[in-house]
Amino acid sequence: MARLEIAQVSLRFGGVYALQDVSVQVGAGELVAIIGPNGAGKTSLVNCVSGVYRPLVGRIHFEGQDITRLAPAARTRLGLARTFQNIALFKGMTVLDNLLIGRHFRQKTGVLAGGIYYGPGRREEIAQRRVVEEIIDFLEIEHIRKKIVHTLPYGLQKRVELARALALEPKLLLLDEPMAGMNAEEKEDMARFILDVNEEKGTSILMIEHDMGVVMDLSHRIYVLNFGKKIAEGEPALVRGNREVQLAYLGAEA
Amino acid sequence: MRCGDFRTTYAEDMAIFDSALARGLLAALLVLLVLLPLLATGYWLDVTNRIGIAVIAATGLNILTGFTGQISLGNAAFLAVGAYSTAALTARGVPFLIAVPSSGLISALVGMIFGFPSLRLKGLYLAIATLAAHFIVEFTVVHWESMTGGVNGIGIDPPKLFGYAFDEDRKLYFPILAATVAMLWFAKNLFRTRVGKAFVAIRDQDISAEVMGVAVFRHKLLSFAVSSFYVGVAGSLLAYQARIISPENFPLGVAIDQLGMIIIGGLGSILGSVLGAIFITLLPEALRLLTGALAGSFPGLVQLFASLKLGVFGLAIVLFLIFEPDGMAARWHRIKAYWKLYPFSY
Repeated sequence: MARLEIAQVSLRFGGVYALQDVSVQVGAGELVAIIGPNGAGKTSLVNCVSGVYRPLVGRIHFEGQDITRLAPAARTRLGLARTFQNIALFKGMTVLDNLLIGRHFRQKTGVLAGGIYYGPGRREEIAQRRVVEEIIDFLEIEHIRKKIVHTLPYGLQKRVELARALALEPKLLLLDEPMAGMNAEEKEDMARFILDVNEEKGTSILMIEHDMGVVMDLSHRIYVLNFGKKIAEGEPALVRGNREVQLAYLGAEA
Repeated sequence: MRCGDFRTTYAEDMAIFDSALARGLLAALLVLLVLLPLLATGYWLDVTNRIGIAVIAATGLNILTGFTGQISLGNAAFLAVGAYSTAALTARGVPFLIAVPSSGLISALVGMIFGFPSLRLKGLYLAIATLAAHFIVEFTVVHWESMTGGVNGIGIDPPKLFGYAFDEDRKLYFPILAATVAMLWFAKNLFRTRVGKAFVAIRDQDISAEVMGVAVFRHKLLSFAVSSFYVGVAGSLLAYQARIISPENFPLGVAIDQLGMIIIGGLGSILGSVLGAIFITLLPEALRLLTGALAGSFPGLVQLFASLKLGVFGLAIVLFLIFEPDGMAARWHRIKAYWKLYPFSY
């Protein structure tokens, strides 16, 4: 059974089909990439999975459970996490607090226990701090743990967003352009972290990315979308040689 | 000045006052505050009591507006709810120690009801919706005469604790001080644990807060409740201090004053609520002293006092927005950071 199974999903905005009959599968521990030209429907697809959009038709199953109509928060509880194309961190909070929000739904402390602090409130906070510190260590962001997020450079913010998603301890991670706007060095770091997450934690990853070098190197399988339709799928080498994919990216020969 | 303060446990790292020096200064400040009634005259104790009440109310507003990002103009209304609850409860013989928190809880409930529009409304639209709270409460207070005394107002007996009556400002100072310290401590703790962090997350990015599994609407309502609880307690203490309350104690200007406090003090900062409340409460007192001192040379100044007060209030807000938009708390942190490294500032 695939960890994520998107079956014949269609999504329409007015008269425009953003997605048409798209099916995608991500197995346990798999790293899958979605590529396609601008406006192909990649982000729309990820939004359907994370619950920001509801597809018009089609079903989405996560570990065998139908999540098509679930609220975003409920999906997070099941083990889905995502990052956003334009960084959507909590800008006024420290890196630590951003990550601790990832632990929010596993915690119990309410207003009273929190306000009194000493006792259960503090115990829980320290326990979660320990978990979060492991992630900080994993992504090598110890030096900025107490920095306010909006003061950080772009590349680091992207890494913090990955860290925040990891704090949810997801089974499936949706990455929407994790390397957009990065320089070569930052891309290499990010690629290493994505591989580490995938291999060490066994997290399935569904990634949208435009950098073909990265996509070809990292992914186990690739899906190609164009104008809301799936035009190809398969292993990197296979997709690269696909005639239709070449047409979509380079245009028809004159 | 301060360096080499290494921490070896997470508990140490999460402490609010993280060094012996800071803890010592805090203790000294508390001792000074306890001894203050020995030094100050009756009038200035009235002022300090009003400061304490303003600090609680401003902290409440800051929890909602500064930390959760929900602008509210309903603070005068929640203050009134707290005050009139206390009037009604004490008239029925409810003792001080129960009346204050109960008034807070009643206010919290009313606050939650007026928080419901926050499900759909944000920013200025929410501000207008909370403005409705103000007028609804005002209308209720004026017309529910059997409970509130209407426009004539209603009297409140001085609080009693174990047979001891706190019937003047010098005595009332201590319960107000205790309440202020306790509520500041509670608020500070709230924001280093789960619920408080969720509030801030909602302020910064409500969509990703939702995706991260924070129940956004529930926490917005919770923020309204906690905030109104603070304001309700402030209202309750205000009733005990004023002894007679009428709708005139709770004009819209009170809500604006409190917004001024948290803007000048610092949005999203507990310290900011304290500094802002002190500043705004002392501003007219300073002006009064100044006009008094200058009365000999400029006799017309005393008549101008009322309008001068409003002008200076407005000017203070504008100047802060231009020169210190993050408020007095941010300035304080910068001063502290400077001295931390002194004399090696790089």
